Amino acid sequence: MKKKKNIVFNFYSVLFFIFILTAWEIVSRAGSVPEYILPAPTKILLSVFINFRLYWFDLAITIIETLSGFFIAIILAFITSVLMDSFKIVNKMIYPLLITSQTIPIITLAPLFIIWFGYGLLPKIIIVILICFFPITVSLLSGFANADFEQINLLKSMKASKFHIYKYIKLPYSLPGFFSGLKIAATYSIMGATIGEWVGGKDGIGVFMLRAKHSFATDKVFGAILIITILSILFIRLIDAIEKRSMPWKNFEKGEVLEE
Amino acid sequence: MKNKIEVNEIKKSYNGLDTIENISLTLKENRIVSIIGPSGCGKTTLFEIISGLDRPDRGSVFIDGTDYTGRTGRVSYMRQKDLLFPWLTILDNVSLPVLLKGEEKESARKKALEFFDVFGLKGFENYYPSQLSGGMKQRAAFLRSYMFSDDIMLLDEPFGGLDAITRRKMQLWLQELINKFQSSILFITHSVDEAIFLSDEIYVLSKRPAKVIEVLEIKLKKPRDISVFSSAGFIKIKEEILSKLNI
Ligand SMILES: Nc1ncnc2c1ncn2[C@@H]1O[C@H](COP(=O)(O)OP(=O)(O)OP(=O)(O)O)[C@@H](O)[C@H]1O
Ligand SMILES: [Mg+2]
Repeated sequence: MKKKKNIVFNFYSVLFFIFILTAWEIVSRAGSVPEYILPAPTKILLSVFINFRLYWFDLAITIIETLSGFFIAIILAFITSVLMDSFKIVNKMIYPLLITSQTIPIITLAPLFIIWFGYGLLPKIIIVILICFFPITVSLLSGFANADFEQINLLKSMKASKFHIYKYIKLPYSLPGFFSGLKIAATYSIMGATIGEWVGGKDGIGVFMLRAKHSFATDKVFGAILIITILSILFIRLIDAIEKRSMPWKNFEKGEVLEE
Repeated sequence: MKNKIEVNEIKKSYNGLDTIENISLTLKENRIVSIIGPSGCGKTTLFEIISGLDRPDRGSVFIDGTDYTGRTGRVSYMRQKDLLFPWLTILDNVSLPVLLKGEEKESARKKALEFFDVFGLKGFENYYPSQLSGGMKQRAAFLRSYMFSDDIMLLDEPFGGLDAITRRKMQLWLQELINKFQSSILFITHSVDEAIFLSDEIYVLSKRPAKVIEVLEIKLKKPRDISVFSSAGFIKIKEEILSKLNI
C-alpha cells in the first residue's frame, strides 16, 4: 500500500511551529510579559511533569465522565437508529425532534443538569451523552437508509431475517459513516465534560483549571489545556486505529485487481 | 421429465404501466431455457416474480408442483450485477446462503470450499471482491447462487458486463459446469449467440408489455464447443430469432 502523505505536518510547518515556541519562550523569559499572563513553554512543561499527580486525579475523573457518556451514547444511538430504521412510525415521531434539538446549544443546559443532578459525575455524563448522541445516531441512520436496496433484496430472496440484514448489510455499510460520527462525537465529548465541570463540580480537569485560575497559576491552566489537547488527539487516534481494524476490506479498495 | 418451474399466464403492471402482458413458460428438469427480448421489456420483472420477490397482478408460479406465487426462498436468483458484499471475503460471500439456512459458520465454509475448484476460484478464498476481476466476481456470484439452491437457478444476464473474450470463456465454462451438475436453469441474455449456444429451449419475448412471441427448441447436439457458432444449424436458428426480434 502506498504511504499516505502527511498533509498536516511538513518540514516548513514544523519549522514555523518551533519558531513560534522559541519566540514565546524568549518574550516570556525576558520578563516583558508577567508570568501570570504568559508563562514560558518550558515552564508549562515543567509544571506538568512536577505536578503530574495533581493533574492525574482530575484527569481520571474527566476521562471517566467522557468515556461513560461516549459509550452510553453509542448504545443509545444504536437502539434509536435501529428502531427508527425499522419502524416508519418511530422515525416520523423522533426525526423532527432530533433535528430541532440540534438548535439548542447543549452546553447551555449544563446549569439545569447541575440543579437536577448535583455536583457529581452524573450531570457531566448526561451532557456528554447529549453531545455525542446526535452525530452518531445521524451517521448510523443515513448508513442504514442508504444501504443497497438490491443487496437487501438478494438477502431477502435467501430468506434472511431482519437481524441478518442488519448484520450482513446495514451495519457493515454504515461503518465508515459511523466512525466519522464517532470522531465528531469524540472531539466534542471532552469539551462537553470540561465545560460541565466549570459550571459546577467537585473534581475533574475543568475544576482543576478553575482552581488554577483562582490562584493565578497560569502555568497550570496552560498545562491543563496541553493535557486536554493530548487527550483529544489520543482519543481520535484510538478511534482511527479501531476503524482500520474493523474494516479490513477498505485496505484493498482501489488497489490492483487480480487477473485470472 | 418433471416440470421444475411453471409460469402460468402472468400479468404485471407498475403504476398503470403494463410491463408484462402475458407470459407462460415451463422449465423442465435438467434443462437450460433462455429468455431473450428487447431491453426494458420486462425480463428482470419476470425473474422478480418467479423468485417471489414481487407478486404478479394475475397468474401463478408453480415450482416442483407447489404454488410459489409471491413466496421467496425456493429458487436461487443471480442478478444482473454481481452484488457481492464488499465487506466479506469471497469465502464468506459464497458461504453466506448456507449460513442463512442455519448452519454453523465452519460447516457452511466447508460446504462452499468443495466448489472453489470447479468454479475457478481456488486460491481466492480470502480475497475481497474488489480484488477480483470481472469474470471471477461473476463466478463467485454464481457460486453463491448455487450454494443457495443448486437444483433451480435463475440467471439474469450473468455475463452482461464482461468483455467479449472473457464472456466467451465464461460461456464455455458454464456449459461444462451444467453438464457436470444436475441443475435446471432459466437464463436471461441479450445475446442471441449466447442463448443458442447454452440452451435447450429459447423463449423470445416482445417489447414491453412483454408476451411470448416464439418458443424454439434447440436440437444442436450437446456438449457443444466453439465450432457450433459457425455451423449451419446454428446460423439458421439465429436468423429465425433475429427475424422474430425484428432486427
Ligand atoms: N419496481 C418497479 N417499479 C416501477 N417500474 C418498474 C419496476 N421494475 C421494473 N419497472 C419497469 O418495468 C419495465 C421493465 O423492466 P425490467 O427491468 O424488467 O426490464 P428488462 O427486460 O430486465 O430490461 P434490461 O434488458 O435492460 O435488463 C421498465 O420500464 C421498468 O422501468
Ligand atoms: Mg433486466
